[in-house]
Amino acid sequence: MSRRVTVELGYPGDTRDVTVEIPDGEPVPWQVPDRFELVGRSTPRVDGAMKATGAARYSYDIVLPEMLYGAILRSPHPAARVRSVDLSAARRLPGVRAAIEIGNDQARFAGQEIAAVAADSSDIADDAIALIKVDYEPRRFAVTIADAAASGAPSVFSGSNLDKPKISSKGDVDRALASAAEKIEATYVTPVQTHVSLETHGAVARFDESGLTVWCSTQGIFSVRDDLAVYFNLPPEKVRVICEYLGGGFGSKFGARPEIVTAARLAKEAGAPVKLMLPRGDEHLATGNRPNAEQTVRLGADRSGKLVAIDLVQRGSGGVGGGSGSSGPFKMVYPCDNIRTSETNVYMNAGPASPMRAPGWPQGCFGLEMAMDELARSLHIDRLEFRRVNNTNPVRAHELDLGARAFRWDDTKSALAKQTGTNRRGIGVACAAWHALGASGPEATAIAHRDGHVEIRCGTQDIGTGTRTALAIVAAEELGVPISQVASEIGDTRYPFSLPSGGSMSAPSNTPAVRQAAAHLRDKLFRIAAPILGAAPSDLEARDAVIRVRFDPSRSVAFKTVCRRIPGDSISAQGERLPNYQEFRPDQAGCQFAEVEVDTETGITRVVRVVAVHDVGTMLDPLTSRSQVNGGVLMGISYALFEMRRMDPALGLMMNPTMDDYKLVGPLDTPKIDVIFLDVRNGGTNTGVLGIGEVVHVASTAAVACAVSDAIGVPIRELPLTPDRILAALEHA
Amino acid sequence: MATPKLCGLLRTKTAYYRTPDGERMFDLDSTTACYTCLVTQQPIGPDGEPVDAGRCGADRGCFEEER
Repeated sequence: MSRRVTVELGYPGDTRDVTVEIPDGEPVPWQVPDRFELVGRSTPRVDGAMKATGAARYSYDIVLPEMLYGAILRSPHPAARVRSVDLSAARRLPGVRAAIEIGNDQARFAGQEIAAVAADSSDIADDAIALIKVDYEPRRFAVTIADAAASGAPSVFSGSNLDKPKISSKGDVDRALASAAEKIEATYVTPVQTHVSLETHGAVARFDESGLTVWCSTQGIFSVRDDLAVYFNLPPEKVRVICEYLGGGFGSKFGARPEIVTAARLAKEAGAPVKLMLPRGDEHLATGNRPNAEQTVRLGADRSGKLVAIDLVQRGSGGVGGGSGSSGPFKMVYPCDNIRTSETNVYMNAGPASPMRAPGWPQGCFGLEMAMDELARSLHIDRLEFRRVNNTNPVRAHELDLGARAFRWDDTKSALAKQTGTNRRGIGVACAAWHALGASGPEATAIAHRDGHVEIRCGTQDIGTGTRTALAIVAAEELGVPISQVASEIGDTRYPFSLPSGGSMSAPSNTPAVRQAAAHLRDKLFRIAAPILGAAPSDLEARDAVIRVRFDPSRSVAFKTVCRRIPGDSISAQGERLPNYQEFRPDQAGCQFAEVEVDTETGITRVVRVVAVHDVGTMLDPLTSRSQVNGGVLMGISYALFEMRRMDPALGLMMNPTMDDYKLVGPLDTPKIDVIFLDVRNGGTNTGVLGIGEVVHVASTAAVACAVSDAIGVPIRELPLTPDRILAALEHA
Repeated sequence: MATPKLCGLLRTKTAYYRTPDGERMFDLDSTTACYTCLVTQQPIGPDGEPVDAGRCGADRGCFEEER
């Protein structure tokens, strides 16, 4: 059975009554007038102390009895035929317990897995790797887009290195551009960025009579379970995957990756548990990256500043893989009647791409927003106003107003117009969007124990974003108990199913299941409390750690007292994440403003301040959300100013596969970051919570890049904005 | 247009999600999807050719049904 309810969705100043049909047992969606005890208040992370003290157990920390240590031999050649692999000397080394070929008869990038060993210690494993004899027949290679796309380039596979372009088109772009009052054309270039998760990829695998157990650093314990079940031909219930804590993934840790499968294969052959965590260098070579891109952008506008055409011709490389597109922002951020995008993936002999925080969007946003600035200048329109004119999203319109006020855009612009000296400041603004409203599939169990503590069990995982805290807040709010009374148990495939964590999908997918489970548990507790209070269960509410009569709060009983009446050890209830129903908006908007200072004598750039404005759906926890924004902004600054995989075109090797040489943003590069959240009760689910991992990162790089170009008075169209590029741009200005 | 039958060993991020019909989710129009083969765990199939939703159909020699 289902029922129809009308809820008020939106945010103060823009609300709408929406009627939704929801099944019985599904809590009424949180809406604008709802007031909360915990939701929306800053709550320190429930596992913060565990992480700060080192008590939190990551895959890297797992040590099992009789455990062996694995290591992988990787191809030193960017392209080679593997004629033979001789493991005999490695196997003879004392302490070596297993040696396997990975099975690649062709090496297509330097770093590709060739063989692996397991030994009593990591030192012995490394020695054994050195004893493996591989007969390579080196081949010609290409490690840049230009080289791989050139006529006569060596083929990475049997066919052309250029995939068929993927073209999307609406309207008549050529005609619109021809008649545009103003237009620009420019090419914007972005480098390959590697994920650099603090915890490297890897796993500990053990086969025993119960099946295969794997502790691994993964964004999807159930996806790893299912992949391993297929790979080893085991029923899924014979595979258990555990990830208590995860030191970052940023999209690179989905499914049974090579190091996970290799750890399990070694464990099977050795008959002992094997730990295989990758060294830092391998992270840069073989665990994924954000593809590079060359984007030729043409924009046209009428005299009022309204965009009439958007055209993108792009090519990028996912190395030996695909997925190098960047058209998302061109299609979604500024609506236009005439939009055409053409994207071509170019194969080359470099490590494969993998999803990375808003795949394609930071590079696309950089190209689009830089072009927007260039066109605004041609039109003699203020750059912020140009974005306002071309924005049709009411949430973003509000955000642009909020951000402009907080950033003091007009005042700052006026002040900077009078600046003198060699240190030049500039400002930039960029818009963001995302489109993940969560998915059905996750389930959760809520358990109340006789001592009054509550457990939430959900087979999700925390990639570092505060999932435990978010789930505990939702359950505590629904049950009316302090968050200290709730424990979130996650990271184990023995818990109810959940989806991978990525694409900002975790919070909107898991919190509704947890809320429904907690609501069902609360209803069971109401049935225990009702006779105590002499009221019907439907007349009760749970708040302030008591269960009370809604219309007569003086009649109450402590939550813990009710729990003591549980006839067994505990009672539990299930919750499931239903398919989305009607929401306020089908997308998520944001915008970021940046001010930078460029030393025009050294070319060194410092980001001075950032104002980030984002809608988060229902705001669960400003403290944790602010951490997400800080991380997204810093990662964007890092991409704008520092990060770049450097490939030697002559050797075919990555030249900076270390955290010394691969430059990342650091504490001294951190600007003042002001965060403004728009608490949008979005509906769609019973919580209306949205993830923000992606949207808070999409615009950061572009805002900084636009600010740098504003500071020096000339656009720099290639990232990262290193001092040499800035000095060269100034010289040619 | 009907979704073409794809190899059961083809992997990409969205394929770990299910459609309302219980099918693995593939966005055939995506330009950012990164595909891998479960056999090799690389964007390269057992036959040494690239893997993606456009290439890993029933007509490929290494095709396997979903298990």
